[in-house]
Amino acid sequence: MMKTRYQPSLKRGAVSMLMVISMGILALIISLYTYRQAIATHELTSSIQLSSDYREKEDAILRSMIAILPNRAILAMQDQSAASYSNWRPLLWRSIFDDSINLANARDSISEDLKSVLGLDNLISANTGDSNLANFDAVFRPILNDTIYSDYSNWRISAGINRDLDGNFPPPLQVNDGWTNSLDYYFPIITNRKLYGSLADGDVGLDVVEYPEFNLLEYPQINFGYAEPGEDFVAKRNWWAFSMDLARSDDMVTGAARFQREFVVSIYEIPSQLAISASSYMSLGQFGNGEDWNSNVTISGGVFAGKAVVEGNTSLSALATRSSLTLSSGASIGGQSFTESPFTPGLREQYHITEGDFFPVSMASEGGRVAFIPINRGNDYYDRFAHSVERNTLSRSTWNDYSVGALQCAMQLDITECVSSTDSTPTELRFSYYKNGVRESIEIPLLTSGVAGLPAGYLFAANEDQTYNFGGSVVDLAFGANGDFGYASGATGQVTFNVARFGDPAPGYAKTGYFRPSYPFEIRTLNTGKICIVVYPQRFEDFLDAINADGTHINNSLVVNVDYSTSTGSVNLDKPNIPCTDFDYGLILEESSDMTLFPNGFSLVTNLRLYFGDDFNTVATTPPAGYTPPGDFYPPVSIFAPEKRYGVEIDPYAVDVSGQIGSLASEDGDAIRPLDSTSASGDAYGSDRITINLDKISHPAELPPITMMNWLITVEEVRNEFDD
Amino acid sequence: MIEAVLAMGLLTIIGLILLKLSLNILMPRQWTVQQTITNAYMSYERALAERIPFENLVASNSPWPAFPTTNSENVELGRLPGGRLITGTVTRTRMPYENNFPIDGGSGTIDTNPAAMKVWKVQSVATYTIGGRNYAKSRTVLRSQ
Amino acid sequence: MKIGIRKMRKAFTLVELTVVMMVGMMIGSMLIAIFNQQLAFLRIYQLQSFVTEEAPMISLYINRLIGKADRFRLHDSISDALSNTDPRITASPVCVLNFRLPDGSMRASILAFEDGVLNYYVVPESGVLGPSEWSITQRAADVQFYMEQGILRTQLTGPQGEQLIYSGATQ
Repeated sequence: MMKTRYQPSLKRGAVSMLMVISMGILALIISLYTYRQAIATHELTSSIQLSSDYREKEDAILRSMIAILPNRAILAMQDQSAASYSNWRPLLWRSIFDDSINLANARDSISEDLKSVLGLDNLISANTGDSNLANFDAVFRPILNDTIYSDYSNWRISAGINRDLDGNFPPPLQVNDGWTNSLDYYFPIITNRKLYGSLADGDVGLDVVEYPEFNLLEYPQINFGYAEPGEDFVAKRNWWAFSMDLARSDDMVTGAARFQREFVVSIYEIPSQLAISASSYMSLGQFGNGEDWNSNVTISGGVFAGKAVVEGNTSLSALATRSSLTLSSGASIGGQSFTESPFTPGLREQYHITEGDFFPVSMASEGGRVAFIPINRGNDYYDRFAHSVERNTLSRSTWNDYSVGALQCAMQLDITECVSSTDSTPTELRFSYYKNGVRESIEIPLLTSGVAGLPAGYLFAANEDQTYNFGGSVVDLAFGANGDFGYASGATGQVTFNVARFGDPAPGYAKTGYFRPSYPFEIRTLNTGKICIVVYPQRFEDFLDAINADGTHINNSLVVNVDYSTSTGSVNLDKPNIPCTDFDYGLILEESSDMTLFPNGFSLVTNLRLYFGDDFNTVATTPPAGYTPPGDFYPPVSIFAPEKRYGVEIDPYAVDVSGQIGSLASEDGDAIRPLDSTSASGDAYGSDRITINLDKISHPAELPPITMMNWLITVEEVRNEFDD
Repeated sequence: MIEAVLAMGLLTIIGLILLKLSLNILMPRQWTVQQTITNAYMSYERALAERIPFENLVASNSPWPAFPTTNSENVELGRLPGGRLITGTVTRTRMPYENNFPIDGGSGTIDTNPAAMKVWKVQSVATYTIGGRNYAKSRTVLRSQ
Repeated sequence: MKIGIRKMRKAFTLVELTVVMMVGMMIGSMLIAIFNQQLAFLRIYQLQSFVTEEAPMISLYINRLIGKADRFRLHDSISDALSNTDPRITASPVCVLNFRLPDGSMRASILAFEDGVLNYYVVPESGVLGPSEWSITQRAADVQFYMEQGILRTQLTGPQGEQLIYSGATQ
């Protein structure tokens, strides 16, 4: 039997190859799988990194916007802002966004200068979102449900006017002016023409028909405490909405575009309303003679100052400042005493947890995404001749008209001429007022009437055989010509100037009728030789009636200035000095206790030293319908003067002031003491002779005709996760 | 024998490929780890810049001195798996907005800055090195008064 | 008919046998080494997975919340948070974040680390809390919220001891 042996075709050594190959393939599969997963993770992480970077940049851009916006809104109100492309282009929302991006380092996180300072070669930016954002117009857009403008091709965003967006947005303002209605989408327009109307009815605190300009709003929950969060305050809210997605610019390359974030940026216009409110450097707590504010001083509600130092053991409910704040060790704000700076990080947060939402000390710069701009024109506020006319502005409210009290007054009383450059005795006044909504003026010669034979103070009434209606005013009459006149006194109502009434004082001549009203102002020289204008507010109603002007509900504010201008004034007159000197004119306020003759209140602005000759606004009146104040209601009044003194020829024994106090002094220089009171002779009153009761304005009915203004700028995000 | 030697050679090549593959997978993750940890730390820098009182921010001993002066500090960025500390260098500085008044470092005037805003760019930059490359991550916060 | 002649195979010499055995052992060692290398690589990969995969997502969500809120409060539990009981600034597992909306209202959301999960809740206007909107992470070993120098800090500890701290100041 033969045996054969099977010879294997493979050599034995191939086993090792097989093992190696098998193992290698297995390891490679594992590695490749892991590699694939790592790539996917890396892509996801890169995308997340990009999103995070974009989000950080967007937050920085929002803060930049808040810093840039106030100036752009002001510039849009200034002269020639609409005149040319180069003037208005920087004021576009588009430009504001563009500048905000640059300010936030959103294009290039690290500048070349900083890189060289860092001293690292070939530095690679780990901010993956850096880009020149060439497709800028894709980044900022109107909001999604804007039915009017859905694209950004013309640089528009969504303005909060004339339409009701959904419940996520604030109540809109309304404007009947086509110019403003159009421009508000392109520019941040602040104007007196934007008012609350029917669209806001029910969403603001009060009836919009009664209070269209300023209404009661809820103070936002911010860390700057001009008012308490949630508390009603008097304001008007301008707002604009936009969407932002930085990723959209480079989405074709990165694919990183996300849902767009929507924001509302607001400018609240806030009339000064706190017990003490001024963008000045103020010293609180002591009088100028070093005496503490005592029990005679009552301050209800908060205080705002540009800069403040609180002295002694002063107690205030709340204190908000724009810049620095110094508290004495004995000071107490909102019941809190501070052994360290109240802005020490952590203090406010601890207070929120233990005490409540409202930290009584605040500063706009510590308030997060907030800016607070007190509008203070300083000494220019008092003087309407310090400003030139503004034209061709983007906003229908010019900056000077908006921010200078002297330019807002309905009535204007100017000294327009004096005896000579060395004798400042006034010889002529000019009084300007509204009549049927149109401004008119009358020149009032003080030494002569300008008509031969007619005494000073007479004004033209009518020609012979014509009739003039003096209403309820009691006036003196004159009728004649050629230096011969017949007179009558105590006339009222309709008067026909004819021979039948007066006889014929000038036969053969065409005669003219004149009248001399009871002027609400006159010139008086004090015992010290100081020349003053005396103003009698209680006489204005009759006087306006006599000259057929609009009533005191329209002519409710008065500016008293010296016309030193070359165009309308006199070369003999000089611009009044501030601080006031004894050689400047003065202003005396008398017959002023009953201001109820001004149903909408009264305001006085002057750049002269003001002497209170009588009680001022001490007669209560009936509050407007629908408003029930906690106590008596007095006509809302405001007085703006660089210096005030109590008394005229005699120093009153004591002074009692109620209401609100402010100042137009600057933040620089020495601190002012807002409660200091000075007598006519220039002596400071001691603390035992001063009684001060200050509280805040809590209703628009309490706003006087002329008030100082503040802007509060905020940004909020529309967060869709809260859509229930 | 020959097969065994060939197998060894193949094994060597496979080993090198796998090593390279592993490094290719792990190296980018280093970048991710560093980015993630640095991002978290930089949120602290941002919060600090937002929270520091403005008065302290512009003081002479500010943690963010006015550029070109900078302030560098070694900081703990976070911890890696196993609790290993990872540190980095943070450089801080601040720059004025050009529209500030000259006293605040800008060239603005009452005409360009009627609201008298004081605006500062507060910037923190974290620098670190990965694989011989120098990276810098920046956060900018705007503070205004 | 075929007859195969079987030749006598020569045996391996001792040297050849030694060489072959050594080569075989080397191959085996290299295989083991590669295997260990892969295991080590996978271990490192796994160790880093929280920081590289989970942490970026956590960062994305947390940065949308922390540092954007207008107010925050820390509590020991969700029920404490809803009833505003015992708010504190020390390390806590629950953080209430309040956001100011454009219409003037304030709304709240809650981040809560409970049972190993970091959950995000939106507090409805009714105040009655429903299930969480989403779980931000289920792999964190610990999440603590605390306040330091006025800054809200979120300390995230991973399963391998890695630590990241997110921060934000109120707006």
